[in-house]
Amino acid sequence: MILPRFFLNIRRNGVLIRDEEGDVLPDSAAARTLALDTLREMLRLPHIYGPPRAWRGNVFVITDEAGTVVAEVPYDALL
Amino acid sequence: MPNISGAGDWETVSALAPRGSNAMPRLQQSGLRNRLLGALTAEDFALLAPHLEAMPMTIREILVAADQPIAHALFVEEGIVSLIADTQGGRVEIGLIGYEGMVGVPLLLGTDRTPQVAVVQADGTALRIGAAELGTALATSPVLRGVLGRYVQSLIVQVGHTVYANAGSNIEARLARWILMTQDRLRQDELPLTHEFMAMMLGVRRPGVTTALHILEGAHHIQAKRGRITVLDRESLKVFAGDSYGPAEVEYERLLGEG
Repeated sequence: MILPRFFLNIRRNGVLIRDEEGDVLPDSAAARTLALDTLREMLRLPHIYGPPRAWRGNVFVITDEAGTVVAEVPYDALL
Repeated sequence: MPNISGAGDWETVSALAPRGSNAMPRLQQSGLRNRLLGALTAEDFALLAPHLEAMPMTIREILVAADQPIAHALFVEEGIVSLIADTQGGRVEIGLIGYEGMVGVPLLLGTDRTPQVAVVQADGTALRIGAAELGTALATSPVLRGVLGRYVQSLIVQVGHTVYANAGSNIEARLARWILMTQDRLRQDELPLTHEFMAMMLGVRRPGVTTALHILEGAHHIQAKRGRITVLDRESLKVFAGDSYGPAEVEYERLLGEG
């Protein structure tokens, strides 16, 4: 079975930073979970990712291989 | 696109399987890239040369597996090998070895195994020597021991600096340092690096790499395309890396540089 690839693009200050690589994941729910796990890590490791105020306005814009947006996860979802 | 990293799919030890006898009969010291072999006296090189055997290194190949006997030391000619702390909780790169170094350092220190994994990160070639033959040469020549011992010291300094970078530097600085170290060893501007691989090497989640790359790219230090990073402005990358890059490289030159 070939799993689909999802792209976690990032919208920051109105600019979309394209995720050119993506992750192979079972479904869009797993992509959302990855986004939330990443945010958890960012909260846990501010010395690596910078303080939350530096990134809390960003949004993960998750797309599938066709480029369709399947979910948006604001970075402040966990704050 | 080749999958450069994916967890758990590294090829196992094939590099250490016998590949027939392709030892080079008259290896010329001056024709080699490896800086350690280049730093040896002619006498010490002559001790090793009859036992050196050329071998390819293929990306993801595991050269030293955790806690397994190390059959050969490898003097890297081209390509990159990562030293990895590989634990159940995850893996993170602790050191980088290219043509300036060798794989199998435990053999210099009186043991033939280590929990640290050595895995090929960029295709290349190496000259390998059997553990026993290396041991005999080391026992014969204190001068040889000295050169390779100074390499061990440089590696300790490098790994120490990786600890410093990982403890104190943000992801952009760590990424800048790591790109610089990769470029030092590949000696080219275009580096075959996927986000997934960089994330593993930096010990972060892959989506975290996207913004860091964007910041370096936005500052025109690098250009990132699928599967490759092109260094545009090395000096600016150094500024970005701050003191996480530099001291270990200077120390290597002090220990092993010519003159």
